[in-house]
Amino acid sequence: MTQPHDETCDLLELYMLGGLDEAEALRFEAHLSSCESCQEQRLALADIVGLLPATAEPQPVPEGMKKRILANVLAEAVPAGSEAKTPPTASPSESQPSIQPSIQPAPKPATPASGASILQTTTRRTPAYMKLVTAGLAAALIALALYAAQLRGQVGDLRGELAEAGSAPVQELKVNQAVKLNPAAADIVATGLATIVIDKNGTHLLVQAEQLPKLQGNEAYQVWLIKGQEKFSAGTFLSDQGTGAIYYTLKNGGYDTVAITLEPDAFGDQPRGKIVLAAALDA
Amino acid sequence: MNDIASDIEMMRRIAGRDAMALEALYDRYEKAVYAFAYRFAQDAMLAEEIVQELFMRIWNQPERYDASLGKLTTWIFAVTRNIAIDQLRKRQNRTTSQTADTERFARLPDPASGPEEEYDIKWTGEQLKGALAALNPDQRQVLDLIYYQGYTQHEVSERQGIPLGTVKSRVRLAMKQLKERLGDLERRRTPYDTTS
Repeated sequence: MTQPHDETCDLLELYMLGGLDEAEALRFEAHLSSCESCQEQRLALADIVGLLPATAEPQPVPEGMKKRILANVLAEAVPAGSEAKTPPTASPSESQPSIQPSIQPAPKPATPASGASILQTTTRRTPAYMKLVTAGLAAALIALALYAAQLRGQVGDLRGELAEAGSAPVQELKVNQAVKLNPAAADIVATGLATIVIDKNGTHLLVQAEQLPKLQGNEAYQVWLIKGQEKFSAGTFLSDQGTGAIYYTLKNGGYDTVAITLEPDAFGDQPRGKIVLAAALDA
Repeated sequence: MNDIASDIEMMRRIAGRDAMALEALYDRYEKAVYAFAYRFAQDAMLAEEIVQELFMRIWNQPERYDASLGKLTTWIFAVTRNIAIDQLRKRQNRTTSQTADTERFARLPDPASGPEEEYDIKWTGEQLKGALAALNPDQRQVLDLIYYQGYTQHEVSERQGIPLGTVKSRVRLAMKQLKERLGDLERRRTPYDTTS
């Protein structure tokens, strides 16, 4: 059946290429649903428009792009009740060969059912890595997470918390040192606490911060342990509503400073961004 | 298993939070998606951002792809274009609410799509490239402004200082010419079809 030509039909090509604004596109779709001529033409045009991506000149893919993208994508919060498996390419040992951070999400007080994690880490444990985690250390990690939650609840009064932390170690953990992290610039309102704890498995660093500036794009926070001029990454984290934490097992001692920097991405071996919080440690 | 069936299977596994499936899907489309993203961004870092955002959406919102409405590649490239245009508009401080969401095209039912209509994309892509090169510069420019830079017909008219009717006619003539050059494709469907 032939239909009288409607001026709206002249918009088909623009519609297919994405050249109509939202209102025009909606009006055209209403027309399309009842215009046989446009429906027929649309199929032919779809062949052409659909091939446009295939006309793009091949480009060399940037080195490491796959690793970066999969690590970032898989580091996103997962829905409640589901568990993300991590491909080998996103393992901490490959993406950050110089460090082996152990990151433990701190529980979020009164977390809504959305399941959003308080801590969105940029690295995840692989099953192989998990095998290396002993039962004792796992228990310590849980204890530390609880400890972090306690600290978070009282972060409004960090000075008081310091006294508490020093006198009330949790379970088998012994708090060796707890220092308040100070803003590195006058315009930073963030607060933080670095705690060093010792258990039978070694010496561990727990760093927690609040009121951190909001991250943009691929930015991430990175924790550094500094010994003289040498800087060692203790891992990276993404903040959630300004709050983040990281847990790291120290391989060596003698660090004189702990600092959190705001980095352009989570993949640096050395600091590139500005220091947000820092504190001196008793070496 | 053909590509379409395995695409659907991979999306099903991704919806079940299977990261290995995501990696497999990434491996399958990395080069094509990156080349397409680069065509918009003309910059390696920005193109990578587009690809990352695409896979963020695939991982976090796999339900937005409806296999009953068409092939995965159609949806993937439509989403990639949307992300790229959004990025361009932000960089150029252009308004972001004017352009129609081209992902809508990927949601229109296409009863003609099916695995039997697969064919050599590379060959037809080359043919279309030749056909695009044969368009006159004015037609090519209007296509480029609309498809690759995300301008609406009104914006092209304003920006180029040409009547709206001229924008429409250039687009219509360009598409007609491309269709004629690729006439043998008319009844074949493409995995990159943005309407299937």
